[in-house]
Amino acid sequence: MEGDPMGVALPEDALAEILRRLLPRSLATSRCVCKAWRSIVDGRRLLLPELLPHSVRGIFLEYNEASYPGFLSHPSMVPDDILGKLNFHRLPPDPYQWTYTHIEGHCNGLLLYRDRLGLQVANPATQWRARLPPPPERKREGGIVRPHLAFDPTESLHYEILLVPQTPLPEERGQPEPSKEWPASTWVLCLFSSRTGQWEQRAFLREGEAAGMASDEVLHWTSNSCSTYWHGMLFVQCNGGFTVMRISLSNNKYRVIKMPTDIEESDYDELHLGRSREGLCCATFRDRTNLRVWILDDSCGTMEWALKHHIDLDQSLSRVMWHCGEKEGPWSLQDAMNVEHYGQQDLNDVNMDEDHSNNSFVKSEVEWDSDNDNIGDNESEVVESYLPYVSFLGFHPYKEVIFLDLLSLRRAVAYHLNTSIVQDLGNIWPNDYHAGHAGDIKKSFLYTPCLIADFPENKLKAHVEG
Amino acid sequence: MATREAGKKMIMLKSPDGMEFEVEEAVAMESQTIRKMIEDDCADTAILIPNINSKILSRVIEYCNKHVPTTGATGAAASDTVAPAALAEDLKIWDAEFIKVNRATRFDLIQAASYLNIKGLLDLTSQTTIDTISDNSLEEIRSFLSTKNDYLPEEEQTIRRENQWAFQ
Repeated sequence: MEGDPMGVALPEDALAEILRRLLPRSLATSRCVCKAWRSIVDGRRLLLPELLPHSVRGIFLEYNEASYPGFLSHPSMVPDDILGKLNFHRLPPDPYQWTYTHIEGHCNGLLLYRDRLGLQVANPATQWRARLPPPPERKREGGIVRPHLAFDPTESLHYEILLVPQTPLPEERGQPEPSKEWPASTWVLCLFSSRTGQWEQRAFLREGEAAGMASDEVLHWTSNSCSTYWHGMLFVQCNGGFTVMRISLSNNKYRVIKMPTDIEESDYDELHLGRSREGLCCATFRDRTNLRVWILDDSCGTMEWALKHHIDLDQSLSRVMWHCGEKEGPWSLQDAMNVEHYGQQDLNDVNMDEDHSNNSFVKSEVEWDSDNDNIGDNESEVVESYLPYVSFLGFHPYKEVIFLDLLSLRRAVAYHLNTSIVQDLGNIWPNDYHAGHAGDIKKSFLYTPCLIADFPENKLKAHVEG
Repeated sequence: MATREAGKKMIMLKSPDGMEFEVEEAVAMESQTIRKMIEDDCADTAILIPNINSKILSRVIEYCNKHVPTTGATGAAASDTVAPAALAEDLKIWDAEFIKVNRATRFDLIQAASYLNIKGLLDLTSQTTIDTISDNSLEEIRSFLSTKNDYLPEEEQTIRRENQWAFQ
């Protein structure tokens, strides 16, 4: 603002106060006025709360034995918008190969998924996507290595993907010294960074103790692994859920976090890791409805799990069983299994469609009102116990809310941990999904949009699809 | 110096050009910045207000005088005869008169309101600028606010693309 021709300049603090009062659209225009204005908008993160609404806009659902995921969509979203934009079916069919798309992870608005051509990262809100180069070949027969996405747009628009083995790899298991620790004190993992556009081997130094011995039979096998990225650390569930690896991508160190000690072994299968408003937490069910939630307390550097909630959900959920019945929930299920429907919509069509792309911003301002659609807030009403089967869908990252799957009703509900209020969200079972005994939700990812438009393309260009 | 007059605590505010203003503590505390100083016991002697000249400071005090809640020593409203709605209407008219200043003064007032953290005054003084930014095109904003476009053509193209949604 120096050198103002009229000699009238507004100092940065005062200008920031004015810009702070603008609506997002005007803020975006202000970024374009001059460099000083842009640096105020960006430096003080004025636009970020709008671009990162900090609200759950839906849940991606992976079904057993289904080729494509579903999406349970928040009422403020345009029906079919997210799956339409992702358009998982745009790959031309290959008669010799099975076509599928499986979601591997979600982190602050970015989605990591795998189709028959490999791994891909996409931002469903802006339709940006990039295909990753294939990871370097590694001997991994018999070992399960899963990709985990790390992305925090408040820090950087670059993202990283880390391949983490769930258990000791065969070559580690067959070491000549049987007492070798796992993971090793220097753990070499495969990492992709959007900064370089390449995969690299990176060594992570261990702080503290190992999880166990590589030869231990107690090191469990599992196909499922949750991960969450928080404060620059990637927390990855390994070893059948027994262990959480806290991996710092900034200083290349990792630490083994043991799970709460008072959990029976059989519970580990269903031990869910996530991030809530309070921080990193894990939850498990016992006897169907007995919920326990722990928060990781690392205030003294000791990494202790503190039991935060111990609630029997039987009454709250049984009340839902009585009330929601067959009626439609406020959230709607988008179903990508129906190949024909989504196959016709291609990326350019969606771009042209004003209703789909231009208004997404305005709609996202409608917050899901947690005071609406309540059922089961009448505490005095005692209902017959159903002892329902429930499974966990995820933690709300910004509220004291968890999302659950009421298996017998095939409905998703939101449960407010502090008030015991249950909200019915709606059906999560696609119409044409019949997988018999295997029919189940395998994985779920809570979607929190990121409306930041431009991602650094740099060396990735070669892999970006047109 | 902080003194007492008729049960009201007084505060001395000093501008950098040497002028002193004695104001009621309640009036001075319309400014969150001064309120914090008083609450933190940093206000035993006169408070120096940097960067705000006496002309602007006197106007700020005028605003605070008008906007301080009119409560007596007992905490009851000073006047029960004036309805709150009429009072608010009166304030609105007063504000509209108050803000009839040239742009340089307005910007000085914005700066003062920002530093002293007086929300009402900041809302009042910045509204014109907010309207200008909200209602006009990029070129008009630059011209109305005398802001020079220092982007290179390619840079401007890139940043416009980043914020494409704002121009649709």
